[in-house]
Amino acid sequence: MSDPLESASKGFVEGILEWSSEKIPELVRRFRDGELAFVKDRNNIDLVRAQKESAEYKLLSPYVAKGKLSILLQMGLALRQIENDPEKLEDLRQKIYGKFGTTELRIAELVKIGIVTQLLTYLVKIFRNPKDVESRLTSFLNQVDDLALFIKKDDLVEGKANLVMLRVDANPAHMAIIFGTGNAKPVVLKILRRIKGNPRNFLIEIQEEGNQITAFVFSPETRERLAHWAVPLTGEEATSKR
Amino acid sequence: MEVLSLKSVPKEFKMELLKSLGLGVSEDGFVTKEGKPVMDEYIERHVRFENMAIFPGSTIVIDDNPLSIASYIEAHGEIV
Repeated sequence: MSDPLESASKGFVEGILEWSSEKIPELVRRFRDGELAFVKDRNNIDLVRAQKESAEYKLLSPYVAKGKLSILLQMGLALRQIENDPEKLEDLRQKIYGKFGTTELRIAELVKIGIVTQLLTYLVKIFRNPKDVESRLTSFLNQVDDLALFIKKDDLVEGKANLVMLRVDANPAHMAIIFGTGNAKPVVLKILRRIKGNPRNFLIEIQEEGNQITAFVFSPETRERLAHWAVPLTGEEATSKR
Repeated sequence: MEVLSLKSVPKEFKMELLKSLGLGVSEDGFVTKEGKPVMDEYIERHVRFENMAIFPGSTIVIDDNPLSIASYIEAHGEIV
């Protein structure tokens, strides 16, 4: 037989065998003294703590303010962690959507698929100053509906290419991201060829994973800063397959 | 702060515990305070008895899900 108070003092406890009314005053006393909390089970606290302790969160979190964006980073990483459990995944997606809305759910999903971390890596290379990086990352995330474009197979190439270049020029991060999956992949490539053909010489980084293609498009003005860091991005078009 | 999992705790014990904390349960299974369903301030939904988490301070009752837990920690600091 185990005692709930003794077990609780060791941290989490499940499967308590002895629950008698006499224990309640002591549990309440400890609760009132701020020593004890009650949860359904430990899974959700463990999940949240694991994300906060992850290297990826520690990399990202200095560049976002506490509050909504910080929570969305954690939730994006949590979505990744539970992606093999469709029921939990959908439940958390619905809670993020219900609390914040479509844009914020999109941010969490971009964190989930690693795009925000990649974006941060580029921003650090381009802007270096942490305050600049933070403001650009925040600005990008707040405009994510405009700057992260999901391409569909029926999208018109010229129109989308012009839209991407316009948005790269118009936002403080000077970049945009385009995605395509399955049948939309060839359309993404055509859009990128169109952008590459622009005389202003936009910088493009392409990543392919499975049937998904992701491309980061940078303004021509960032070329020199990226070249300074001598990364593969300095090429006309860098492609990586993960 | 230590955390006690209520996963395997008998319903009657949890009901008694809630009562001692000044809380109750409605007929349709929601945690109540002064007879009114308690709202999870982070997801703005009423908290179900089966899925509750209760934190000290001003007896904060929330739904036990990652978003509410993360929001609580963001607002109040680390739990454990």
